[in-house]
Amino acid sequence: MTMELWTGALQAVLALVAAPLLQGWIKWLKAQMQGRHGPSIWQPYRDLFKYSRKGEVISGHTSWIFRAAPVGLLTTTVVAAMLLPSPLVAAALPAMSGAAIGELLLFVYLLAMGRFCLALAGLDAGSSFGGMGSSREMYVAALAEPALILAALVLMIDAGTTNLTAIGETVRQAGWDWWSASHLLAFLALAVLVVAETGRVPVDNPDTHLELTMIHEGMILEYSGPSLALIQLAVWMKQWLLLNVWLQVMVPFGQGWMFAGLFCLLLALVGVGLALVESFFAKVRIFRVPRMMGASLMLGVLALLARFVQ
Amino acid sequence: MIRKVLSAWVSLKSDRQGNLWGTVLPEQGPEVAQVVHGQLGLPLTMMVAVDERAKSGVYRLTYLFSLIDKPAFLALEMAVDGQAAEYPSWTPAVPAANWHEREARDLLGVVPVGHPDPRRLVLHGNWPHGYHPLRQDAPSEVAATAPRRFSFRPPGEEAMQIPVGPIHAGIIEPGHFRFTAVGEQIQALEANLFYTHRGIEKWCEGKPVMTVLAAAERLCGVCSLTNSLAFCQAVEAIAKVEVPPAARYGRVLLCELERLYNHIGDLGNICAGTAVALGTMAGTRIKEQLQQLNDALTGSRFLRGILVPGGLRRPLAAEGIDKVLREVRRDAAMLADTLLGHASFMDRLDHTGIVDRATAWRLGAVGVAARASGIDRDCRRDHPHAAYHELRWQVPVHQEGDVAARLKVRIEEIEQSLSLIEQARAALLAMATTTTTTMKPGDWAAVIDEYPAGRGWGVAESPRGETVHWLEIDAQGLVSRYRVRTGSYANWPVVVAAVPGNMVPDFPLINKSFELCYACSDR
Repeated sequence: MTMELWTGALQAVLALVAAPLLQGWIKWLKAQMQGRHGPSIWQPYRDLFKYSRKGEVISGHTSWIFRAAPVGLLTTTVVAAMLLPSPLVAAALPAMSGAAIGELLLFVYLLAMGRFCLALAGLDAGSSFGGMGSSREMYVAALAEPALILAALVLMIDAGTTNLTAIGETVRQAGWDWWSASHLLAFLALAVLVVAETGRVPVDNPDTHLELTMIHEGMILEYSGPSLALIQLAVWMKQWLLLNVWLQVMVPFGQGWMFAGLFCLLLALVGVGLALVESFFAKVRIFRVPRMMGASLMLGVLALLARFVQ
Repeated sequence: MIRKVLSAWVSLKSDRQGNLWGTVLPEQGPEVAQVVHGQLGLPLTMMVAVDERAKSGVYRLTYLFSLIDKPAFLALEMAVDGQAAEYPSWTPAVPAANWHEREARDLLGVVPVGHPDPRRLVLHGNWPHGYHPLRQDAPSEVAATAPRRFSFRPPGEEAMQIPVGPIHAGIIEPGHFRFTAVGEQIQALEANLFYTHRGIEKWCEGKPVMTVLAAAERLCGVCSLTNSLAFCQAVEAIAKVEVPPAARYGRVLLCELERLYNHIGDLGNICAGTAVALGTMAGTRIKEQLQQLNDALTGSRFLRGILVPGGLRRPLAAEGIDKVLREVRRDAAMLADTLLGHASFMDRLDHTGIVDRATAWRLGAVGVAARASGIDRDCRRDHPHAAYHELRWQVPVHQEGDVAARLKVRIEEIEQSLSLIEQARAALLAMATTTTTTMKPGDWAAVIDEYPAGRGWGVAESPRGETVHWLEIDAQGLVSRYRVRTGSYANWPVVVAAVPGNMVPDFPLINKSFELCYACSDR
């Protein structure tokens, strides 16, 4: 158990440290694609540092929930990070590999709990933008969750476990045979959900200043200073974790630095994909989001059917 | 025809430019309004009220209608008793008079009786009650009172109110929008503008014409040239001056440059409303290129300081502009093609923020907003000025009235503007080489030695629509009354009408498809 805790701690530290870099990378790519110089890829670290030194404005209408929510969000995200095995940690400490707790359902619902904290905080200040943001976030979440569980189920059934480490082991042993028709459909379903869950175009627009269109940004509009830093860090960590999970259920990573390198490369490539989608697609009407999520759900259903037909 | 129909109420006289003038009795106003707007179908251009109590004991109100089959206007004057200061409102018959009458009530204290919306408009609740700054006897300083709240209409059962502004997240001007929504569906919208009333029209009273020109150019940032053009034309109408050809073509060129940088910037802004960052950036880049061209050509990125009554302040060195314009033509066409072929982008625009033709007509929409709703009006063609009637161009019109239609009208107008600039440039170059080897000052500006007393107006088509400047000059040659009605002022009520029935996150997109200016209201 101690071993697992230590591995988990390392994974969480890695996520804390590397998540802003991934965010900076995606932002830098977007700027390049749009013909801008853009901020450096280290800007998210500078932003965190800046926020953490600033004072905070807290609306007089808020309750303790408003102050507790950022901590709750970051805590659940860190715990989720502890559950998720990382090829990088496995490469650095081969002795510890396989020691991650890696419970997939727990992981998913820890992130959902963080989202719950944020939605409450959005409502707490009583401003209409926060309320709209929370309501939209829950709307998207309610649609994304069944699709996510369904797609994950296909993979969990084949691995015979809900443990991510064990799923990873199955993927490794199966090698490229893992890429069956049914699994490809599941990967695709998860890709749509990753875009939705990271709050990116076409579901949400992370760069907008238009309050009326905001989802995630609407919820955190009232935050400033250190609380904002906590929220931003947690959100970037969530993005890191989701992309991690997606890659790990998909690609048969072996152990060692070569695979760790491959993992980083793939992560960077996924960043390119996200930046491409974000630059070239318009945000869909919020009432079209169910169709997107519905498509993802159908892909999940098809994946499940394909699995039993095979 | 008009004379005959109106003969029961007014006898009309025509002036040198073909404008028809008549005097209406206040009690017959609504009847006349019904005939002029409802029966003859003339759109209201502006209404201006003047305090003439010192001279004749009355407030003089002038309703200016556009004659749709002639380039001239119909001016109906009405003397409102200075003591009672009341008259029957024309707004029930001419809805476009709504803001004009409320503005006159706030600034001059002439009350339109029977107006359907008697709330304050220009002067918010923190202005003292009974203080009307445009009255000649109004004290120049007055203490603000405690703010009184604007009374928005209450929401119905199960509806939610969403207040937005007056301070916004982007770098834009103040304006408060109050949405009544059920879930994401907007049921009603009210806009409270006029937050930063600057008293420019009051300030201009008693100032020399050239000083007022400087103020006219600074009414707003993005339509500086159109405002100065309309102002100069108002002065020229009063002074009865002919503008030399070089200046007329130069004015076309400048006016179209203004339209070009605005329209291209607006394509980018519409992209921002749908999160297509690529389009936003392309629009911003081309706009910057054009503003640098403005700077190189006139010394001002906003085309200020180049027009004077009578013509241009100096000749335009238009030879070198074609290189930049070729690039702009290529890049703008590419941006337009990309946007029109962008499925997920156009999906957001189609059927969003629809203004049907009847609504647009009723509210007096002008400019792109009108032309996207099937109203074929463009004062560059309908009230010819500068050299527009000597050039070959078209007025694009679309019928759908949605955001997509407004985008398409802009895209087609960009092509027309580029063509107009090219023609005007060619004409200027021909003049410079054939007529005179060295141009004399008289070639680009008529000299106006003194400004005769009188009143007149000038119209010009800004990127946002028809802009009208009303000017009165007194016996000393100083400005005695000045009022501006820009395209934005005419179109704000149309924005408000376009929104209900859409969903909340579509409002920024709809708003950007009109791209109106707040400063134009905050005069």
